[in-house]
Amino acid sequence: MILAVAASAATVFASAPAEAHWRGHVMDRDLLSGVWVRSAGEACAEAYPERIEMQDLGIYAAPGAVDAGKLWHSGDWELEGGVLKMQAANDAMLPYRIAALSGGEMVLLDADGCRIVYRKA
Amino acid sequence: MALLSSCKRDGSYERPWTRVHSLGKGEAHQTVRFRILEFEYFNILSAGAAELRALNDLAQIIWRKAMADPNEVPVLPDEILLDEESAEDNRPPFQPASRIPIDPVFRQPFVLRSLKHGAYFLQWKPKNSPWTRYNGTMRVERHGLSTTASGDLYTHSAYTFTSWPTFRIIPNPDPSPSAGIPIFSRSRYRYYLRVTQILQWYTFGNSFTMRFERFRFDSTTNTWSNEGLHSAVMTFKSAPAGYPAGATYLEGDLKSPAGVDLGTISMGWVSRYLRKATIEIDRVSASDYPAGNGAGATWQSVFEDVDWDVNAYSSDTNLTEPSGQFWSNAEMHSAMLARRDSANLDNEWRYHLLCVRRLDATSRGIMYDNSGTDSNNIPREGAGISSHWVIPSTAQWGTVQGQQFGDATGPYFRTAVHEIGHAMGLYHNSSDNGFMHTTGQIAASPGVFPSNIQWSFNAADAKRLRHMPDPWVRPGMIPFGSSYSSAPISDDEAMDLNGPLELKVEPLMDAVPIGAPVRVKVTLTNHSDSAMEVPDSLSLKSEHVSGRIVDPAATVRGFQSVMKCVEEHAHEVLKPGASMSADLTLLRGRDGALFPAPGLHKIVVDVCWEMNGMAVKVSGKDSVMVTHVEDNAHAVAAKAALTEPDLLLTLAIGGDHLEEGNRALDAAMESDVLAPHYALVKAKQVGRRFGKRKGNAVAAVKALGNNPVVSTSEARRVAEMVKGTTNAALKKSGGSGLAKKLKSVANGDKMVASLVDSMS
Repeated sequence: MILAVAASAATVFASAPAEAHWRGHVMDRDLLSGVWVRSAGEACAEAYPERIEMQDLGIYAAPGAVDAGKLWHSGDWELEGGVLKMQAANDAMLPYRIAALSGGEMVLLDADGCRIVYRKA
Repeated sequence: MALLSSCKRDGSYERPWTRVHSLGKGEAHQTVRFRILEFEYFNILSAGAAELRALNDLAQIIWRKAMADPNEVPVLPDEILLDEESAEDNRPPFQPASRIPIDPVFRQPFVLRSLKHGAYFLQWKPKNSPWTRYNGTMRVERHGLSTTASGDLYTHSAYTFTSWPTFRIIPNPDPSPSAGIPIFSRSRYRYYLRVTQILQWYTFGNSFTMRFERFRFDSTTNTWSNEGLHSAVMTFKSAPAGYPAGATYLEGDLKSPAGVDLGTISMGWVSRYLRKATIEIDRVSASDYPAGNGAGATWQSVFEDVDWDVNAYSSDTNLTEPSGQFWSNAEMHSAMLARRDSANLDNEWRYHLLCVRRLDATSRGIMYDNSGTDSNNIPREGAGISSHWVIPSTAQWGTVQGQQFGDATGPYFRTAVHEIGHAMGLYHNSSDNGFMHTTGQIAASPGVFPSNIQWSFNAADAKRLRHMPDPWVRPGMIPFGSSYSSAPISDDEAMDLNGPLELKVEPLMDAVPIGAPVRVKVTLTNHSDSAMEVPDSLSLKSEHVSGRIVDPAATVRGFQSVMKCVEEHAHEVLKPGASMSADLTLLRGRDGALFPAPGLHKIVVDVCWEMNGMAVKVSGKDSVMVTHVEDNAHAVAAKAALTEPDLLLTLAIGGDHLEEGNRALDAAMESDVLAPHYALVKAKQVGRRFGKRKGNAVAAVKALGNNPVVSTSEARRVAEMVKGTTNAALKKSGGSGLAKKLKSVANGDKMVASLVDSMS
């Protein structure tokens, strides 16, 4: 599978919803920490790993993602307002709008609007 | 390993030269012939330099004794010439051209030959195709006692036809071997060769069998198709003009999987490196040049470790920032196209690294040229790093927290290598703190950053750099992001656990007649202080077990399970000091009969499995002597046994449906020599139910005869099979010889003892 990791941060920000929507929100990094398992959903979400382990130090690992040709393998994550940046396979920090985040579910939207749903393991 | 050690079963050995002085000349001569050429053959193959010198000493003693009275012993002769090694070769040094007298029966001088580590110019000239041939490289990696090899082939038009008005035919020369590793045009790429068999260590012979799977590359889809296992008997020859002095050169006839002659294939050594590349580094004036880690690791040394000949150099140092200190991916790509010194990726493997103050897309570095969807549609040419990112002032960043990245010499250089690693087709690897792990993960790992950086590639990545197909690693071919599993690559090496674990390989018999299967007991013992996760079975059916047989001509034949994976294989915990064992029956492998000729055969058994996500392996070895044909019936039976592929299935799964295999089994049972070795197989065949046919325990016992070759566990299986049969029937069918034999192998097994009682 060919990974589409060329998108720059600027491009993605331009396509994200109005930042004002997120102004005032303070995302809790603690909510992001933990093991997340991808839920069945849109086909486009198949590009993302089945399982990610996010540590509060701002690093994550996705076991098996390299062999499966996924977009995220391991690396850094950053939280900027309502945007989660994940280090991609080529080291680009790709931004994802957080559409929903609770203790049990995380919904991300990528640059192309693909909806990626993870649930806490 | 001791050279010239006697093959004693108890593990002890003796140094025969300590008693050579007390032997007569004839005896001494026979001793050296016997030991050097037969029983000690494989010890020599894996001996170190000191041991080979000892061999020389021994031979000199024999030679002097023999020459003292030339009438009393055959003329001692000719010589063993130890193959001259390159000074650059880092294997154990051998004394060049050492002369060792040897038996006149062997008139040809013996040359101890091996394959040099490095890149070979590879050429396949297809039969009946004078206009086209295939040129490429073969990479031969020597490591420890084994060799890993892979190759790539590109089409080459032997001639160019000029058009009107000249109409001339101009030969297109092959690359000059003196120029080192040749580089070929990307558009001409055709095949990856995944070598499955090659000369592993040394041979006294002049040739060996090389086998490889040939994968055809489809450049429109970037996919591979396996065209099967090809083979060639490669013969050492003198290198043609143009090769480096002392270059190893081989030729052979290439055979298709169906045995069709495909023409000639040749390979000649051209470099001690496996691959070569150029890394051009351009930068803005404010950015630092990542020359090394400040503690000895440089571009050259880092890539030398993976056998790449890398020329990294600082080129332009005055790039103009297009829009301030931050660079976008597109701006970096544009700068690469404008400022790089050369752009012909068909003449060299050139990677470009740009050092700028800051990056739009990330903090430290990026391989921006991943998909080939940029302005020139060529992937993996360039990467960029950021010198002015400020390392966070948090504890995980250790001694460099708060520093500007370019001032943190080690981490800055590490990121540069990491990004070029991506350009070479490598992905993140969190197995260790090597180059392809991410910087953030290393900083968060135990130890103080950056002293916890590992200044090398993880072993799996090193193997990828050495053996992944050219289109994967060279710039401008397969885009970044394809799954590793989509590419063929030569067999993985697993971590060697010999030491904490021991795999003992014990043939049931020291010698077997040609045509007989070889029974081997393998025992895995945990010598460590902690419990270890191991496969739950060492049976050949478990798929964890494989191995190879090395015949007297040093031809290697592999074997593995004939059963396909039908279920998940469980692991179990082997406690400290505990052992587990299994019996293997070896007859055929993927390359045919495993013991096809008389002589000493080396048996190597590997057990491979995953432990905590890491591939691990433990190996053991021993040898068995295969004896000559004894009579005509034996010859007929041995021929059937050695040539019938289905006999292996008869051994493995039994049943009446394998007609060809059963015919070969019956032929073997007709021979008094082979019958004892196949008796158990026959007994199982008739003693077990198949379809509507009921098992016949009485016939099974009869088939065993008086002196079957059986192990303790096999004897127990016999006892289980005949359970329920009346004593009278057992007495009638089994002779006293069988009872005696089973008693001798019972080894305290109550069920076997009970069977023996029933038969007595």
